[in-house]
Amino acid sequence: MALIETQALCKTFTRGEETIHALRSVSLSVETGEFISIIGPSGSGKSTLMYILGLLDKPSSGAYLLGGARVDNLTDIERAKVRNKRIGFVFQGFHLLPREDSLRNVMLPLVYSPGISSQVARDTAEGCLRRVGLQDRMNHRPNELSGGQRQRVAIARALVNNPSIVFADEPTGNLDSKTGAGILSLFQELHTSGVTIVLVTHDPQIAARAERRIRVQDGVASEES
Amino acid sequence: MKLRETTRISLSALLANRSRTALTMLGLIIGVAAVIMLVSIGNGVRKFVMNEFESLGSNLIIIQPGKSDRRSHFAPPIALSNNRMTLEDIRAIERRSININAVSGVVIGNAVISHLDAAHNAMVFGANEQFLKIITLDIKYGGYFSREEDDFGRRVAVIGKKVADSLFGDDYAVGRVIGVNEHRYRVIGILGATGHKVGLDVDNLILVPTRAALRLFNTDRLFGIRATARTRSSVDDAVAEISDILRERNNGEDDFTVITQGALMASIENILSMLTYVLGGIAAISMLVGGIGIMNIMFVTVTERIAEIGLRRAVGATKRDIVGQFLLEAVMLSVLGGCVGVGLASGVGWGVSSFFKRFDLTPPWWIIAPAFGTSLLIGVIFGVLPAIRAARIEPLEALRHE
Repeated sequence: MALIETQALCKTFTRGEETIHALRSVSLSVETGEFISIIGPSGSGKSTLMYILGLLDKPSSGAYLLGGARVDNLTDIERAKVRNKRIGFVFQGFHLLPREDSLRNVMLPLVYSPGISSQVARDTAEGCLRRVGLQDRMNHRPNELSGGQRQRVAIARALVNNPSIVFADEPTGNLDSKTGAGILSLFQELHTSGVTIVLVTHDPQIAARAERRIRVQDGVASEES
Repeated sequence: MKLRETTRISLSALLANRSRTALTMLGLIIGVAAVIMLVSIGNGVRKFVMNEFESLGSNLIIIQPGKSDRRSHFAPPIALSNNRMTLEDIRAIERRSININAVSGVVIGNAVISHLDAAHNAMVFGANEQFLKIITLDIKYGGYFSREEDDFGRRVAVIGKKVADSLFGDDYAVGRVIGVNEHRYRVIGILGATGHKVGLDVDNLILVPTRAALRLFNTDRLFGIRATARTRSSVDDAVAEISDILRERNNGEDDFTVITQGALMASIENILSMLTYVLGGIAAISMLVGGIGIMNIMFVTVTERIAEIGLRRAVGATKRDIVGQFLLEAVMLSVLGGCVGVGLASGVGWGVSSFFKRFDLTPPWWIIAPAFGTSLLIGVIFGVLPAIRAARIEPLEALRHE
């Protein structure tokens, strides 16, 4: 059974009088443990696809199954719960809380998981920071870290709930190429250790790091080999 | 863990913008402090007035001629009454009432008091030898007149401090002779400095036996009757007795009004409490203004933290979590402001009270709970709109917001 399966996903916006078809009937599937990339120029609909798959956005029509269960018709609260338990996000702009240290930032998803004691949360977060190589930066705030280190904190945060899948939206977009390469190696390592990763990018070289590539062009998705 | 983390995060957000937090709280601080100070002032005035009345002597019963309409505690003007209250009435009450400790007729009028070339306008107050049991007066030099002196209407006088000072200066006045209008009186006592007591300038008073005063003003009508009950619990019985006696002596007509100190104090207390509440209510408006300040800043905070809201939603916060977080922040602002306001008002109250010993402006302890509760309520009321706006922000839009 595929981890992610979509059937004829469509997404339309109306901007003024104009109707924009961001996604036109996207059907794809992702297996557990895969490392795939979604590639396309800006405005192609790749981000929309990722946010729908990440349950931050809803499709206008079509079905979306996560782990075999329909998730496109869930309520807001159920979607929040799925995001919390099964999905991790890494953003281009890191999105760290500026006043909190690395440890607190990584612990954030656990704050919204009921029944986790702060001691367990702290231990889990420490483990994740070690996994991304930041064991000596746990009590630093984002402004005391380099861009690469910030993105590593964000990756640790995405891993802290042991999610089924991690979505990364242009994770190297704000980094120089050397640092970006380090981040990509980290994704490679995580993939090797069994994490399912969906990486969204406009850069073919980065997309090439994934074992499968899905190209999105004008709202249509196609497998690339 | 959620509540503790949320509290910690809210607190650190408030601390990160210290001056903004302080300025936002200032409105509520002033509001809470104003409410508490005005309530304290009302309370202090009430205590002050009540002490004044209490110091008159306890269990006081006042009887005035004339029937008062409805249940007013204040007697009608004496001139409108046809009722004659005389010394016979006093004697009857004295003889027949068992719940009374002391009773005296009172006569009030103005007279020119003179000694050698000095003259002074004073209020003549006629009463009998029991009057000191009814109203507490401090006789500093000499003494008070006796039963015999009252019975025969001897021309003796106990004079207030101002009268003594203006006629005799530093000389010892006891034993000296003074003129009261055309009559000659011997001074037998001098009152200590007392000041005003419920509108009566005791220092400018001259106390003379009832009969002497009646003769002075050429009348047999008393201004009124003053009595005290034996104990606090016998006040009502004493009032009933006096009413029966006077009614019987007045052909069964109820043409007099009895006022007890308790009833008088209760009605004054009522008025002053009402005043306190009204003042407090007016000051509460400034609390509302403080609340609006909090709402304003919370809207700013929400706008500033859109990206944070998006992130929280992405990692699993529900709308309710977001509402809770911003509501908590608003409540923290308001409760913190409330606490500082209570502290400020208490400080000012204690400061003022230690300067003016007669005025107790320390806030009553019971004010703390409502002040705290109202602050909390204001935080909730004015925090809920910004919090709802925060929760309505779409996570996707918020994440794209830089």
